[in-house]
Amino acid sequence: MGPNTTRMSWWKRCASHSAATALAGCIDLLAIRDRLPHQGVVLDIITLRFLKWIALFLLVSGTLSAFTSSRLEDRQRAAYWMATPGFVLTWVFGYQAAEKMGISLGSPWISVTMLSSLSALAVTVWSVERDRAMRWIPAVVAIGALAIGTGAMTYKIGGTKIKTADTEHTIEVTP
Amino acid sequence: MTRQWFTAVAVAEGLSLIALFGIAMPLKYGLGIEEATQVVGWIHGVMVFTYIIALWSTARVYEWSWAQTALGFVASLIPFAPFVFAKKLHG
Repeated sequence: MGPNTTRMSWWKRCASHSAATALAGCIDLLAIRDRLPHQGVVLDIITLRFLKWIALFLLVSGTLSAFTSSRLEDRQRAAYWMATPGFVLTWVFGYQAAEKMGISLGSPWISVTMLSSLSALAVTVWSVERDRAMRWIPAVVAIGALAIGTGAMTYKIGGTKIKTADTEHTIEVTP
Repeated sequence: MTRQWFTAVAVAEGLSLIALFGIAMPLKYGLGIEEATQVVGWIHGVMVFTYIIALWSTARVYEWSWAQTALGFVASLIPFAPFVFAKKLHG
């Protein structure tokens, strides 16, 4: 297998792993269409949520490629240059979208997603430090954590708290 | 590749800290723009978590001592220090 073939198969893997995430993003955008609070900020919210899903796409595809690619260099490239920026951008755009929608950062699903995505990134980065024989255990932990986080974010597990004028008080909104 | 990655994360973290101390906080406490620190503060918070993960991993790859790793963490709290720490890593 030549270097070109290896590179191509790596990108093919990235694309195939990412397709499911992109599909989930589109479904999520359609699902929130009727729940947006103010028509004036609809475009902003849709744009931010779309950018967040692109970033999540990067995080998920980077994580999956970090475990499935065969060469250590490819795995490191996926963890360092896809999963890490994906993590940062997901939370930057996610925060902006939450602010626009008036969602409190104290909502349970946000805490769950933050913890799970942090764990997934830490395990992914740890797994590419060197070639390890037992790769499937960290893969299950990282991908499981990402699945929990994505599920919590999509289905708003635990309900959403909406910010009011007095930020000490929040209104519980069940999913 | 780990070294380049850590440097990129350290530079991004350092820039977010400078933006927080140099732009957002003067806007908040000088001009009374309360929202100034919200976005920059959040970005810096995310970058600090990412920096700690990168530091933890890089320290193991290069077998740093606890003192060197602690120095790396302290660098994340001081403006411009992450740049110096990343430069030392390349030196």
